[in-house]
Amino acid sequence: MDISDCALEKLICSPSLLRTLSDAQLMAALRKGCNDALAVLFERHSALVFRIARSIVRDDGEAEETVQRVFLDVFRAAKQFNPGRASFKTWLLQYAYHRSFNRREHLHVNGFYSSDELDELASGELFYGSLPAQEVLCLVEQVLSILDPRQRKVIELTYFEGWTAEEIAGQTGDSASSVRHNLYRGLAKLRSVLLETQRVQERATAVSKIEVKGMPLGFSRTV
Amino acid sequence: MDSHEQYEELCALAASGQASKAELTDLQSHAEECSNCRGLMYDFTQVSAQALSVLAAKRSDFQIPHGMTQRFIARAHSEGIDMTRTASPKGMKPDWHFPFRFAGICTAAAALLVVASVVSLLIVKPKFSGLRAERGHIDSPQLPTTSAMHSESAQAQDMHFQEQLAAARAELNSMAATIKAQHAELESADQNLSSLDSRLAEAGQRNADFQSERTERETRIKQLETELEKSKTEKNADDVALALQESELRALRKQVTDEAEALQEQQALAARGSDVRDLVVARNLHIVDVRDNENQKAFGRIFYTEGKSLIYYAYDLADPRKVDAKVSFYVWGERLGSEKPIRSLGILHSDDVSAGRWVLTFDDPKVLAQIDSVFITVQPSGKPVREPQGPRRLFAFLGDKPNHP
Repeated sequence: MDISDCALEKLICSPSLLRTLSDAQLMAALRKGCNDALAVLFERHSALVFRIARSIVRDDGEAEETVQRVFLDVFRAAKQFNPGRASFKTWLLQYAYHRSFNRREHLHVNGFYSSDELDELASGELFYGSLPAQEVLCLVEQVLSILDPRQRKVIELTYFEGWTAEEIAGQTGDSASSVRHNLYRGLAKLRSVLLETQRVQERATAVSKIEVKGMPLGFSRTV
Repeated sequence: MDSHEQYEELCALAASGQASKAELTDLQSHAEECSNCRGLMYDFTQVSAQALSVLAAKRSDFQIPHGMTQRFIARAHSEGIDMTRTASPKGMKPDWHFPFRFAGICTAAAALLVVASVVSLLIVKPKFSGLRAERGHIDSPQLPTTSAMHSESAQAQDMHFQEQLAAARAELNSMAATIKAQHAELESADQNLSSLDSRLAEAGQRNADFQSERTERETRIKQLETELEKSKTEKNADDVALALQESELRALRKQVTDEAEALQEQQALAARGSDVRDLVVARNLHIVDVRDNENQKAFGRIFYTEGKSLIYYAYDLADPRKVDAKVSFYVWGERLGSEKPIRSLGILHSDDVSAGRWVLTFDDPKVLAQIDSVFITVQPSGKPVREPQGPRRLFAFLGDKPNHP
């Protein structure tokens, strides 16, 4: 049996091989016309996107519709994805988050997050740099635990339960404006901690590089 | 709170979906002129999208709708995006032959990895070089010293890649042949599996039949055990009834025996009473008392009714505690002075041991008519006795006139 170049491309695009590729490699395959790569990306990330959308739109059907739209838009904007700027997951989550809010009627009508924003996101970078995602989540959980209880509660009810400021005010007995202010203060604290951590990490990396560079030959050090 | 701080708060509210329509419009127009707020808005959106919403997703227990991937693939098809239906493993039916096919898949994957390394150099690498240029990360190539050197180097590299590609293709062909052989084995295994499934189904059916039969037998055994238990209970009841009946029967037999003995005693008493009455009323009764010459202690009393009966009571013939069973006391009758033979009237029987009394009753009128005296001899037991032997004792003459009344 002789294997032609066309057959080779088909084999590379086979589902079993695609599942072994990274997200960036899958995006590259998608740009090359291997549509099955989209199915593998969907299989890999749709559950997370669904849960995010579900917590915002608070309806299974609306959440699934959001998930489908997100991945169809990812397919159409695949050429805009730049793996040098941000990871696929960062890009996807940012867009999924915007898409989910667009499903909310008033935002949809207002068109605050335009669907074109996916193209803009393709060139976006995380403001807190290259901190590992798992480390960021641990950090956020730690900050949440030390936040003022009212700020923590407002953030949890907003992001984990999908409540509006008015609903939270009705539940806590605070005014809606107080709820909104607490939300702002809490998010501002989270942002500042992440920025500070990023700065510390960058300084540590720079120091390590200098130390390694200054070491005698024959010595090595993990940075 | 100053004016700018209000917009900062609005950035946070917009990023978290808590801003109103009017506020969003206001923020949009402000952000167009304020780069600080645009940056802040971006940061809050990233905190929300990359951290808090992911944390929320981790903590949530929302169930992923069943078949979501299949519906997405179908929708993608409807929107002109062609994907093979096997792209998602969740869309495939469970594969019972997975262990057999896994080897083939692994082999193919290994082959593809070998080929991919070559292909990436020949095909993919040049195409991706454009992307790198877009990102501004163009590698710094080494500049050739001369064009000839570059040409030779390129040809040599090309030859090298061609050789690698040829080797990879040969290996791939070999692995394809292996896959084909494994496919044939798989088909054979499928057939064997079908056969085994069939046999398993038959065995299952037989097992079900056995189970059914076993259940029936167990039911029958239980019925029999119940019946046996019932029979045992009934038998025990019968045994008890039988024991009671036997006990009653023994009591009745004893009662009958006692009554028979009582009747015998009554009859004996009645007979004695009749004898006594006959004696009392007899007109020619002889009552004779005799003594033994040798044994002064022994004596006798004879009640003789002429032509009718003779009753001989003998007392103290021997010590009752020393009565020898080897001897018997015989009573004889004779007519004195006649040559007629002596007649045996019988043996004395112990009538009352404590009183030392023996008795003989004789009522043969013919014999009584032929005798006028009686006496006793001591004869050995167990031997036929035809005539008296030894000394005569307690002799009595009956030939006198009746002395009673």
